[in-house]
Amino acid sequence: MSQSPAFVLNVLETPEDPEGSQEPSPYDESEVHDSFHQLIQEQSRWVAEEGLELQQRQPETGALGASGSDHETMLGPEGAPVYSMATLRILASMPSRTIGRSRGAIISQYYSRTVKLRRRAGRPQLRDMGRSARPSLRLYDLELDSAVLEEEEKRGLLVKELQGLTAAQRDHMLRGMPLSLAEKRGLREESRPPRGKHRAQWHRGLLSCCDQLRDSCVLASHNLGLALLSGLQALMPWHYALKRIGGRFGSSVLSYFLFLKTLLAFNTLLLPPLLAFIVGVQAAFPPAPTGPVPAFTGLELLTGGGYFTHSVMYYGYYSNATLNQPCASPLDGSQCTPEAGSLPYSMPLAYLFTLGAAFFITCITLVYSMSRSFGESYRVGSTSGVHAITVFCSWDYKVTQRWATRLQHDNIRTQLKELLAEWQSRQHRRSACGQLRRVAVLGLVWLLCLGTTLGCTLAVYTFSELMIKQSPVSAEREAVLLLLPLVVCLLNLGGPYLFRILAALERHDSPVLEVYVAICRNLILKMVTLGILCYHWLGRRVGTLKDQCWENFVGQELYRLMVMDFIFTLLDTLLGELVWRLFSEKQLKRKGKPEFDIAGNVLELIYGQTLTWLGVLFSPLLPAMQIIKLLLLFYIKKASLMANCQAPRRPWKASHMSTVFISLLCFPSFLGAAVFLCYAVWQVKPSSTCGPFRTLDTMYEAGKVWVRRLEKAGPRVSWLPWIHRYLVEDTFPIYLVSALLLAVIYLNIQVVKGQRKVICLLKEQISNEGEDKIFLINKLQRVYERKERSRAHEEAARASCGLRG
Amino acid sequence: MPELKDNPFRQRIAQVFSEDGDGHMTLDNFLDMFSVMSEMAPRDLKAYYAFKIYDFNNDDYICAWDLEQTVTKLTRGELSTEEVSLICEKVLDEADGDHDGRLSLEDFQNMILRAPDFLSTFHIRI
Repeated sequence: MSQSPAFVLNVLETPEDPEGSQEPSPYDESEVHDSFHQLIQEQSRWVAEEGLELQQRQPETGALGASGSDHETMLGPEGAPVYSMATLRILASMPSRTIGRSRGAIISQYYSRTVKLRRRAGRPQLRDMGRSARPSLRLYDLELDSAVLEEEEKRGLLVKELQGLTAAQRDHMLRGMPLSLAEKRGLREESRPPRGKHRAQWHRGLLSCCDQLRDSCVLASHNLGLALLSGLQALMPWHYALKRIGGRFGSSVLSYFLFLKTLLAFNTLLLPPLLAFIVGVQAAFPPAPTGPVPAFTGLELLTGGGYFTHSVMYYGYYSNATLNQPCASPLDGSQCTPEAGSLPYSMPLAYLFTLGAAFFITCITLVYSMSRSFGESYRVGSTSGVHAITVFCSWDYKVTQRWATRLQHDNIRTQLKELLAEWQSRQHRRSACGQLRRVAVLGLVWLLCLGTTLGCTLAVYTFSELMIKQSPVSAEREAVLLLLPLVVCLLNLGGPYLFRILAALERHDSPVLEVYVAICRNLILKMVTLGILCYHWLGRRVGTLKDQCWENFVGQELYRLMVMDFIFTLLDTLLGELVWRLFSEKQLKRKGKPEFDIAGNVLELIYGQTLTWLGVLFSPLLPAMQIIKLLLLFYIKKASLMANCQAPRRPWKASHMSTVFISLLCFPSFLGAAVFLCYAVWQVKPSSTCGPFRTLDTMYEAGKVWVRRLEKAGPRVSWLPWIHRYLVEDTFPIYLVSALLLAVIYLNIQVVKGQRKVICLLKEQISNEGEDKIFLINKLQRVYERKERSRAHEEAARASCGLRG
Repeated sequence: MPELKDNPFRQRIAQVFSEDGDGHMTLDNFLDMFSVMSEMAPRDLKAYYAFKIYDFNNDDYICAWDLEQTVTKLTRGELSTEEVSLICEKVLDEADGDHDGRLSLEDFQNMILRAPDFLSTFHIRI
């Protein structure tokens, strides 16, 4: 990579110091690190040959002298002596000063980067880096060869190197270059392989031909993807809305709306398989009606019962037979005409497998997006350096409105003040008494919150038992069924406000911790309530609705919960934002608008999505309802935000928050729904009067029956029963997979620990090199001073000789 | 340009992206600026230009004076002098790798690597 040129330091033309100083000259000192020694030698020889750098550097050195604090800080608190011109010349041409300064330097830097990219891929081995290697030198790989290339030659070299890369790598390299667009365009045009050269490249071998084909395919698909994306963006009606929200309220509030978009995407992913394989097929082959269909009254939209009970919406409508069968056994006693080319469609199997596949795809997508979000937002060592990050990364360039920018100024000022206060408070340690008091208050508040949660849980349980006693509910009193969802939603609405009041008692050191604690408490309340409801449905209702269709009932309960949740979200928006703003403006005469509660709103979204996932087994059209609900919610929340709210005052790291949101969506929400569904499929006996699994002991048995039938069918498909017997029914593979997963997690943790250690070592190395640099510059300065003094002595001696002589 | 009307660093942005360094931008410079500030620009490129923007005296280092200017512009001059200098001191403590009292491009890029928010804040939506 870097050669080690041999050259002479031409400073040492004079013999050793006449004053007999104890200090050894740089050339004699064996302690000097190789890299700087060679560097100084080479640079000084170059300077002696060229001497042109001085003109270019004059204004810079002048500027350096003017902002003299630079040099002073470099040497320490005391003022530094004025450097001689030779020292300044060498300082000015140090590699760290030429990086990025001129186009020539950039081009040569990227040329060497491209060379490295072509020669080896991947991270450089640590053992290749010598102890003396300065990390930045290795990265930028200066021109250590003596021939100073013209800019045009450098550009030609760069173009040649770029031609050797693949198209994707070339694009990536060009995109990262800090040159102007016109130059980048020129480089890209020149480095694209021209058509005439095809025959010449054919001689290089088949391998490069395949490479080219692959490159052009990748490029074409990439272009197509970009075109589709831009087309999609043009179609997306929310692009301008999101821009307005980001411009007025910043990235943190925008993260809520982006999360809403993500949820919409998940539901849109879930719905088509259900529509195609379950709902559509059953709608095409409707079963015979079992009884009189009740008339449509408006109440069905709220309760989900009545007219909707015997429709595609609920589990009970689906038949348990094979549809579209060229019939061998007439089920309903009528004559059946076998149709040629008809495809038998087993409804129970389709129901089970479609749901399983849809959930599996959702799980994979969730885990993938969560891991990608983690990868983007967490870095090793990202908790330190908070001041630097606040100063450089907290100004949001998206914000464009005048009052919003004023708010940003205020936010950043508050943030910096809080950081300073935190640092100062850490300097003065709190007394033991104060610590104890803080811990006691914290414990008390947590106890009160958990007590409130327990109280809410008991209330829901008692009410659900009451509702069981009320049943069976006649058709006229269906509105009574709305009471349980009403109670649950009221508790979900009131709980967070109570927690906020209790949280005002405790005082946290960091505001981010407050937010996390609030999210935690709200989440516990919601999840425990849902848990009680799940027990109520699968544990109690199954028993009490023995001869009726309990799955329909559970589906209707979830529908009611979703509708009530939506109504209460609207109420919360209306009361919490609109009415509060009017009240505070008119009555309290306060100017400030209410803050947009990001955490609370996001938890609402997660709750709604959990309900959808819980209910999809019993009501396959629930995702469609959720999509409509999310669309309406977007517009309502946006309107309320624009009219009534202001951005939150607390610092919100938007990227961390979106990671937290999506991991909350994955872990309590999706996992809980998956556990509930697994229990329902594996353990609960389906009702015997309705649905696709009415004759079986568990829903999963449909799959087992099919596998048994396959076994009997013949040896051609014997691999499927084999897989089923040895991989699915046997528990050993599950243990194996879990053990492998744990091993992979452990390895990753160790790798991250190792990387942290390496970062510490490299940081030490950097600071050592910095000290070395200062030491060497001082030495240089002393050498030059000595030289000046000896020259002055000589001239004085000569002058006095000349006078005498 | 409405996107930059109230940005405290608008003069520096204009100076950095203009060809002659004094704020007069041609169409190419304009395109450069929006290309760097767009969503697709890689992190290193953004870090490079952010470094140039925050380097007020154009000496390829962010020294203490540059930091003071940045903090003052960020807070619209509402922090006291001691607070500003304390903040600058802490920033140099945290980010200066080779302890020469100022931030070089590598120090800046190193710090940006640890800040995942940078990509979303150093971004103008068109």
